[in-house]
Amino acid sequence: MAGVSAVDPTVESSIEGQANARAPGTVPGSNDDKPGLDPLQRRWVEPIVSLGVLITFLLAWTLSSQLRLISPLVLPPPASIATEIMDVVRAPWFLGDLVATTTETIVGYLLAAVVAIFLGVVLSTFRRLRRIVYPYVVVFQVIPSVALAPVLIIWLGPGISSKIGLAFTISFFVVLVNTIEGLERVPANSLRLMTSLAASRRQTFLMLSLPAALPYVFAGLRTSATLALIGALVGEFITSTAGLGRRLVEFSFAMKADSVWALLVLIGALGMVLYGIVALIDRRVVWWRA
Amino acid sequence: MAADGNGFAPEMTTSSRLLSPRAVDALLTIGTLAGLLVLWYWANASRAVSSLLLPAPLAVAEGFITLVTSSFFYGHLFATAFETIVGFALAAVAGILLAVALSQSRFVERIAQPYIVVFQVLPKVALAPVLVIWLGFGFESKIALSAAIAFFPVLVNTMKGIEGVPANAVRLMRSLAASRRQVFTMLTVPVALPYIFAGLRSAATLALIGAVVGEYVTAREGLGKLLVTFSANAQQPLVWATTAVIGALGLLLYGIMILISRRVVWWRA
Amino acid sequence: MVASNGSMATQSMAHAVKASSSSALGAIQVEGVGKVYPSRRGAASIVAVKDVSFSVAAGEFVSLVGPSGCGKSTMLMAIAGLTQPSGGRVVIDGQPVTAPRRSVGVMFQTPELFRWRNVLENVLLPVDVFGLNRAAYLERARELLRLAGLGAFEHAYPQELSGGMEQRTALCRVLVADPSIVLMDEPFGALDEFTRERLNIELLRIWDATRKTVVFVTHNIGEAVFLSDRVIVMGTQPGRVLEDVQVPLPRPRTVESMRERPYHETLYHIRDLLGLSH
Repeated sequence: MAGVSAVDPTVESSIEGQANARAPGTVPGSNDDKPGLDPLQRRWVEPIVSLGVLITFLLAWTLSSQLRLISPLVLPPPASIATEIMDVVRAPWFLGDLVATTTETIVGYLLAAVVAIFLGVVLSTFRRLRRIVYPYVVVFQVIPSVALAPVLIIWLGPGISSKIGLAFTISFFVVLVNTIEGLERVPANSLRLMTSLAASRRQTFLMLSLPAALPYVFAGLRTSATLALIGALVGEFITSTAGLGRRLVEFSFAMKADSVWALLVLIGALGMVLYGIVALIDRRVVWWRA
Repeated sequence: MAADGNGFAPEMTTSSRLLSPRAVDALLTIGTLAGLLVLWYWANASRAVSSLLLPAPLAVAEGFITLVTSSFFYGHLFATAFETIVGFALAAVAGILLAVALSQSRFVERIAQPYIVVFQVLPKVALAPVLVIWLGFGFESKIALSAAIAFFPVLVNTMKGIEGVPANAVRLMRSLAASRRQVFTMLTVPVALPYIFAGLRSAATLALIGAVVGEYVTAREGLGKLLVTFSANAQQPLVWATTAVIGALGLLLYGIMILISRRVVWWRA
Repeated sequence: MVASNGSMATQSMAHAVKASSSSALGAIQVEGVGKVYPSRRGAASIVAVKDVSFSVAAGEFVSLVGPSGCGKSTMLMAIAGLTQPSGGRVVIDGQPVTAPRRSVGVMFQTPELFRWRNVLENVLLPVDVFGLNRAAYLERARELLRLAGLGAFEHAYPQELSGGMEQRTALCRVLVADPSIVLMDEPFGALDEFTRERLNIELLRIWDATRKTVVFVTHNIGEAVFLSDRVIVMGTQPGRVLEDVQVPLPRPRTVESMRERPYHETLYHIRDLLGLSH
């Protein structure tokens, strides 16, 4: 078995990955004594209060802008950000930058996913090889991949390729480690069952190991969806010819607070959409997860 | 896997060997690195790869020595380390406190949940340019970015840990007429600690990423700034040396976290 | 749940299953089997089992009973071909066991149902692995499920089943491809006493009809006596056979069998062998 330290990074990512998958109605021990709502109340009250919090927050924000408690140069009121979002979306440059950043993210992500899953399968098939190579995998997962940005720009140029490279690098290891981890954690008795049926390696892989590992693989894929976008943005921060990250830096230095915040919201939305797509695919593919 | 009395231990040959299989694998691990170095050396010597793309190993080594013997290096190293550690500490304290506060009420926790999920997924590095405008070119903006990125893993993991307290353990404490405080210190904290440390370990790496990315955007000093400057001046060996230093710093931080967590949650293994 | 249609259902299950099993195969000889686990770093190696011999005739129901560490599961795994003995050999129908074979089915303590397969698909797993035609076995699988009281659950997923229903599904799975030998490694050990007893009775009815060879590992002496023709009592350090005990209870057995004198006499004899005071 690998050392504890080697396994740790995935534990985190899987913990994060499943953080929002809380079964409704389960009452964890520490919360036994807390005032609970019955399911009906819960269904209506909670979203309404949640929404109420948001509205109150936006109102307070607007009010403090109007009372000049916050400088509009630092944080413009929500209304002007909203108007600016409409302007930004209609601006002639927007589509090009959006396409650039999205392409970098998706291409880097998909490459990382394919290569990492393939390599994960290879490494867990050949255990000896895995033992030899795994220390490097752990090291590379722990060191901050964004430090490779300048090197990647030297290698791949200031264009789209270096950002794809960074998106790839930053999202690769999470998927790799999760894939290996998932294949490692196939229950021993299930494997014994397949052996008792004289199943071939191929059958065991297809009928048992692969589906059993999928929840882990997808936990990795979810985390790395966000990471890929980060990679693309960081790459664009440094040097680039196009992209939302570059535009963000430009607006920041021009002190266009409205536009900066509008872009931030749009980038956030892009992140949510990308994550949402992966989460959706996850739910479709690994439908049996509790 | 050890012999588990059920007869499923892997079959092993009992022949005596000079080295255990583990030692052989460790040697092969080191051998892989040595092989890569030789390949790297050969690639440069034979001009298969331009030294502009990949400087020779010796050039990088020289660059590294130039770097660590220079007068300016330690200021930059200190800046990045300082930003990272302060950002990390802020994230840790804030993350743990908020998680504990939220878990006091199931209702508040559920109201907060959607916001936590959304903010967790957002690419926080996008805040880098904004923070520079708000907080200036100094270390404050980097600390803020560092903390913003490192915050969520701590928050989410702490909440998860508190939630993982077994119901029967709580009942046991209640049957002893334990106070809320006692339940918290004697049960909740120890149960949650392994999760909290898992979060802190990710946070350590993320804090460094925050500091470096902040420095990429603009900074007076820091390894990220150094890296961008070397890169702009096409000082390839120094770029590689600095990258290695940042990597080493990341490893060091992670190593320290592992060490502390082994000491604190010694019962975990 | 399944309790309501218990005895009638299993009786007809017995008929259904009987029809498909015809052969008199399934004789097991265990000849001087030993199992040694090599040590690490110079510590003494562990002798899990030493020189164990016994035989099981085709169609016989034999239990292996003993405390943890007596090697009863190791013996089962050796018969299954899942582990190779360090000494001696296991022979099934005249052929030494070197690897798992299709004619031997294994049931584990945990049901090991695959969450991505529904109940019917889980039962059909051996059919898929053996590369047999699913359609040809569909009716048999459905029949087994129906008679195990799971007819209404064939499209349910393991997550929706109770522990007892999961093990019933696992029982159907081990029977679907009609093995001549069924090896059971504490299959009901994780279930509550009521469910365990009900499943024991169902298992006996099925066995009565099919007369497959069964080797059943348990640490529950009462269960072993109730089910078996013979109980092989094993001891520890090293794992070895203490005694091969005949169970003089007539068949077919019912819950009433557990009230009879021979049941109690055998039970207490085995307790004495294992050094359990009473």
